[in-house]
Amino acid sequence: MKNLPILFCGILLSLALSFMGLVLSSNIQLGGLTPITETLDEDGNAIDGDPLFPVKMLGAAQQGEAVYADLGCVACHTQQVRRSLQLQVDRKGLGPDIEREWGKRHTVARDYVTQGRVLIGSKRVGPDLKTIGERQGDANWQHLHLYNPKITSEGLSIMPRYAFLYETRAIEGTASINALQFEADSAFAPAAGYEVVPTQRAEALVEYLLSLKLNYSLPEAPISE
Amino acid sequence: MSDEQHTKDKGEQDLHDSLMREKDEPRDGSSPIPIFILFLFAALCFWGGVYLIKFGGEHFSKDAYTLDYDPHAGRVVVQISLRDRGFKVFKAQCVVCHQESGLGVPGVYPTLAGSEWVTGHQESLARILINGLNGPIEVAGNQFNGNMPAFGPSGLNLKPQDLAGVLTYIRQEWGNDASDVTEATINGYMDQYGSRGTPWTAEEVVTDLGEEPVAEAPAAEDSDDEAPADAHAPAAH
Amino acid sequence: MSNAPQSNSQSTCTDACVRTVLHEIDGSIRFPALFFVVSAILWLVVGTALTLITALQSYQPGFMSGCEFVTYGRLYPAAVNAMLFGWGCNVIFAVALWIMARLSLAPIRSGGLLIVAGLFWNVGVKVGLFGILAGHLNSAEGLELPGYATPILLIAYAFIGVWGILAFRARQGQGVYVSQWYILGALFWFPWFYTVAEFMVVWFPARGVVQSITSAWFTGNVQNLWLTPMALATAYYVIPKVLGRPIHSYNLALLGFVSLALLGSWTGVAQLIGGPVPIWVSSVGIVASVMMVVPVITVSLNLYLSVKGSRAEIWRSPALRFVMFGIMSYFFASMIGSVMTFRSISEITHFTTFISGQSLHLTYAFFSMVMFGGLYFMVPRLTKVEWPSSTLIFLHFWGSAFGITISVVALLIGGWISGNQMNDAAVPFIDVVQSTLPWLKIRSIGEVCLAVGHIAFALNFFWMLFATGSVRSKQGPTLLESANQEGAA
Repeated sequence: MKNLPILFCGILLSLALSFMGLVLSSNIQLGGLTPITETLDEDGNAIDGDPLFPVKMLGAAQQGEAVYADLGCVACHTQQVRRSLQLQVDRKGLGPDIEREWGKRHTVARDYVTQGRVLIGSKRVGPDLKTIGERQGDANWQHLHLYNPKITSEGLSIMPRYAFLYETRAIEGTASINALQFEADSAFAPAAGYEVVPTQRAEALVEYLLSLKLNYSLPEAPISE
Repeated sequence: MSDEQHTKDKGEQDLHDSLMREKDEPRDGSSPIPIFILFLFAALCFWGGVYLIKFGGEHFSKDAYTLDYDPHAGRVVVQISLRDRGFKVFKAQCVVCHQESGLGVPGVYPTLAGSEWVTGHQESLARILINGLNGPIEVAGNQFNGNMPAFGPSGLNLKPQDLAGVLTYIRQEWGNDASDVTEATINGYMDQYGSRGTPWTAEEVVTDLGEEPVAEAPAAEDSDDEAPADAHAPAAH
Repeated sequence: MSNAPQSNSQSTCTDACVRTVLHEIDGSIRFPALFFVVSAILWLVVGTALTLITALQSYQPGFMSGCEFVTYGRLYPAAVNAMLFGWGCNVIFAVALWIMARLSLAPIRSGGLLIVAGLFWNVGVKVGLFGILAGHLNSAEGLELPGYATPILLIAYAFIGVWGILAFRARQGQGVYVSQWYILGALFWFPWFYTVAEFMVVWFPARGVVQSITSAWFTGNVQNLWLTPMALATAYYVIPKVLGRPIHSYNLALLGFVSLALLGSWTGVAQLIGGPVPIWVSSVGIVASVMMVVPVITVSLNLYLSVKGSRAEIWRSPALRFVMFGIMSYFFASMIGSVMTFRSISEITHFTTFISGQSLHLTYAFFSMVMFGGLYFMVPRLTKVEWPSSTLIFLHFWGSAFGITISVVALLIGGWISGNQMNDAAVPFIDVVQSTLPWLKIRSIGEVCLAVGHIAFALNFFWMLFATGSVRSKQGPTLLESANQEGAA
C-alpha cells in the first residue's frame, strides 16, 4: 500500500465509527435515564407524588455494594434477569431466569441508574443475585452462606469460603446478638464456648444482599401478575 | 538452495549465521481475490441488513428490550382509580395538616373523618379546595379559625384529576361514604372558580350552589345543610 | 547503505546491503526488545502460576481461601490481567516493534525510549495487580486494574507510541507491507479505546448500563483491534521470512485488513444479549460477529495458500509450527465465535464456561501461540545465539498444544452441558454446578500441561540468554526434527 493518508484515515474512521455508534449513541439514549414512577399518566409523564424507582441504596447497603465489588463477586455472579430470547406473546418470560424465579420481570437499563458501579456481571458460576434479597431474606442464612457455603448447600457448593469476614471468639457471658446461629450438631459450628461473629464488612455485605430486590415495576418493564 | 555457508569474512560486518540464512524480506504476491469471498461478503451484508431490520428493536429504539416490543401499544399506562390517585395526593399534600388519620389536630386543623363539609355538597367542597378558606368554621361540632391554602390555579395549582382524586378519597375514607368527584365535575368548577383570587369564608362557600352532580356511587345528600356522615364501613383501600 | 563484500554466490549486492541494514536494526533494537522479552516471559510464568491456582480453586473452593488477598474473586482477575497486560502486551512490544523496525529498513535511534516505556509498563502492571489483590479492583471485565494504575500504563504507552511514529517516519522504501498496516492500526487503536473505556467506566463512570456497554465494547476491541492485528502482523512477517515465499495475495491481505478494521470493534457488545440493554445493542454485535467470518476466512485463506506445499518445513521449524497452530486456531475459534452469537446458540452458552473457553481459545491458542512463534524467530537474531535445546522446544510445543486443546475442549463441552441444564428450570442450580465439576478438573489438567510448556520455554530462553560457550558455538537453526536437507530458520 502506498497511500498513507488513506491508511491513516481508515484506521481513524474504523474506531471512530464504532465509538460513535455504540458508546456515544448508547450514552445519548441511556445516559440520561433517571428513576421514575412505576406507571405513567396518560401524557406519558411521571405521576406526581408517586415514589420513584429504583431507589438509591444508602448506608450499610451502599457500603456492602463496595464490599461486593472489592471481593470480586462479579467474577461468578450476575445481577440481571433475562427474558426469553425467542419471540413470544405473553409478557412472562419463558427463559430460565424467570422460570427459575430469579425475578418477576426482566431487568432494564433504568434498574441500574442508581448504582455507582454497575455489577451486572458476565458469568454464572453461581446463581444470579438480582433478587437474592427476596429469595433468601434471612440474614442468618446469608451469614452462614458467606461463612462457609457448604453449610447451606449440603456440602455441594463450589463457592469459596469467606471466613475471613468473620471472627471466631470466645463467648463472654452470653452469646452476642449478631452471632451466627448454626444448626444443632452442625459440623461447621465453632467449638463449644465459641461464637462466630460477623465483622462490619460482613454486616454491610449482607445488608447489601438483602436489599437486592426487584419488587417494583417500571413503565418499560411492568410486573405482570 | 544452500544458505548454510557461514561467512567467515570478519571484515566490516559480523553478520551472524541466523541473519545470513534468512530469506528475503517479505513481499506480497498479486493473486486476485477469489470470487466466492466477495459473494460471501455481499451475502453477509445483505443478511446483516435484514437481521438488523428484524431484530433491531424497531429502528434502534431505546425502549425495545424484548423482541415483542410494540411501539404502537403506547406507553404502559395503568389507569389508577380515582381513590388511589387521591391517596397519593393526600399523602403528599394534606397529611401535614389533616394527618394521615384524617382527624386533624384539635383546635388547629379540622377533622375530615366525619366532616359534614367533606360528605356534603361537592361544589362547596371543591370551592374550598380550589380557592382556600379563611376564617371561623364549625366542623363536626368543633370551632376552628384558620387558613386553608388554595390548591387551584391561584395557589398550589393541582391538576384537575388530582383534585378529583383527593376529594373522592376523603369522601370515602375513614368511615365517610359519599359520591365520587369526577374530573369532569372539577373541570366545570375550575371554569367557574379557577380565576377567583380570594379564599372563601364559611358562609360564602355554601351560598349559590348549583346542582349536585349526578352520582353513580351511593347517593349523596342533596341539601346544603349540615348532615352527619353515614357510618358505613369504608371500602378497603 | 555501505558496500558489503560478496559473501556467497547467491547474495547480490543489494541483498547483502539489506542484510547489513537488518543487522544494524537488530543491533539497535536489541536491548529494548530483549528487555520486553524477559519481562514477557517472567510475566508468563507468574500468570501461568496464578491461572493454575484459580483453575484449582474453581472446583476446590477451600484451596487458598483463608486469606482475603487470594480469594478467587480477586485472584481470577489478577491472573487474567497478568496474562493480558504482563505477558500479552510485553510480547507485543517485543515482537511487533521489532517487526516494525525491520520493515522500516532503517536503524532505530531512539531505543532508549522503549526501555523507559518498558520499565514504566512493568511498574504499572505490578501496581495494578497488587491493587487488585488488595481489593481495589473494578467490576468491569478487562478493566479490573485499579484506576490509579492505568495512568502509569498509559504514560508508558505514550513513549511507545512516540517511538512508533519516529520509526515509521524514518522508514526507507515506498511500500507499506501488510504487517505494518496491522501494527500501525493496533498501535493507534489501543490507547484510544483503552483511554475512552477508562474514562467512562473507571475514572468518571457513566450512568448505569452505559458502563456495561462501554466495557463490552472494550473487551471486543482488545480481542479484535489489539491482540488479533498484532498476531496477524507477526504471522504475515514470520511465514514469508521462514519459507522464502511471497504472501499469496496482496488483495486478500488488503481485504482482510479493511474488513477487520471495519467490523472488529462492533463485535464486543454481542455478549450483552438478553441483558438490560436495548435490543439493538446486541443485534448490532451479532451482525458484526457473524460478518467477521469475512476477515477470518480471507486471512486464513491467504496464509494457507502462502504455506501450501511446505508442510515439511512447517513441521520442522519451531517458529512456523507455533505460528501455523495459531492461525488454524484463529480460524476455528473465530468460526465458533461467529456461530455462537446467534440467539438460539447464545441462549445455551451465555454465562457459561463456554464463553471462557472461547476467550481462552482466541487469546491463547491463537494469539499466544503465534507470538511464541514470533519469539522463536526473533530471539536468535537479537542474541546471535541459537536456541540451546530442541527438546525443550518440543516440550514447549506439545505442552502448549495439548494443554490448550484439553482446556478449551473441556470448557466448551462443560459450558454446553451446563447451559442446556440451566435452561431447564426443573434442574436445581446446584446440580448444574455439580455437572461442570468434571470439566473443570479436566481443564486444570490442561493448565498443568501449559505450565510445563511455559517452564520449558523459560528455561530454554534463559539458558540462551546467559549462554555459555557451548551454546554460543552452536550452529544452524534449532529445528524440531533432524534436518536431512537445509531447512528453514
